[in-house]
Amino acid sequence: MAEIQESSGKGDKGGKVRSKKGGGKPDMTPMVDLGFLLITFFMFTTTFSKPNMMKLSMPEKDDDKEKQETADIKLSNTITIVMGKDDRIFWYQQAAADVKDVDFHETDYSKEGIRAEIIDKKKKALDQEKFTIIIKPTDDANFKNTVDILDEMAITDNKIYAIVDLQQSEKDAYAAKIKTPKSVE
Amino acid sequence: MAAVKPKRHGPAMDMTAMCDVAFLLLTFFIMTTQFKSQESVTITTPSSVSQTKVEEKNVGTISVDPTGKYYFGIVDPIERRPFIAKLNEKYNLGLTTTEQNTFTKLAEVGVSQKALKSYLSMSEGDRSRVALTGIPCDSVDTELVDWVKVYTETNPSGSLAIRGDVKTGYPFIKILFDEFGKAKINKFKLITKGES
Repeated sequence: MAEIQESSGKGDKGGKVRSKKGGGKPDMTPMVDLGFLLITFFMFTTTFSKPNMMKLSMPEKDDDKEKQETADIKLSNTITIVMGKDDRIFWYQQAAADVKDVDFHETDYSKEGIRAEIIDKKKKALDQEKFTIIIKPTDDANFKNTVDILDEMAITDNKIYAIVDLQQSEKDAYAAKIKTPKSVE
Repeated sequence: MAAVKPKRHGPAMDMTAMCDVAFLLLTFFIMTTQFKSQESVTITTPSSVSQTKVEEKNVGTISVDPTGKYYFGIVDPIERRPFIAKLNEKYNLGLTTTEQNTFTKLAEVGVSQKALKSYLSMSEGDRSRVALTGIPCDSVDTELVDWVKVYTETNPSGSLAIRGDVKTGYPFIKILFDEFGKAKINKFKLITKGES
């Protein structure tokens, strides 16, 4: 051979023509393939987005009634939110016992809807520290509505709220109101 | 005289760096992965702005599907073993060790205590096909409350999380609040997913 073998390999016996070594590099491509295959597997099996949670404390059953009787709450300091069928939502500021369907104000779950109402009513409240929100989900409401409203409590930073069942007067008012077509005020 | 052409190779990339990255990521995923336990019900949770994450231990979950069936599960697989042993002992369910082992692999169960033995002894394929009745919880039969009580006995620091579907009607949630309120369990966590 004409050229000089620079790397005079020891194993260069018999002057055989050898293919030039590329520094002894193995082909990594299959290894990379395997690596990415396994990554894909682990990515799909792993639980990545961990669910969030919100804390909710319900009033104790026993002293529930006493509290309701003793608590002297000004009506303007409260807002009652009634969640109904098909993601409809109503609010009113009245005594629950004599509420009528005309007192139900319809709004929606959007930012301009119930959130604006809560913030507005809180501003007008006599004692903002004690502004109370009474959440009354009807039997037609679903879990999403409940979570949405609890979410609004967190967003509007209200600490005093409770989930309460509807009274008969409210049920009647709701039944009458839900028959009317949806009209967001 | 023709210019000496450099020998043409095919475009060969050096794969070493890519290989390094691939295995680095692989190591990361192997370390962080937590295998999903077999879920018997698909539930789409509503979203909320809450930033608190669900703990990985000390949480028992009640899943409520849109038709109002209740499922009970324990998030941490390690806590499932003492739970099922205690449940077995307390209510004389007659579960074998194999059946208890099966329970520890399930994310949640949705059968009453009576049907639990036959449910756990099924093959995996049958189990995913069988129609689940849900754990009874209404004003007549509050078995779900018993499950939770057993759980809080085996794990005193355990807390209760409610995982409802978007379409789950409120009455089904109300029953939970009412029945657990009677059992003096008033603190709940509602499982939601992050707002996207």
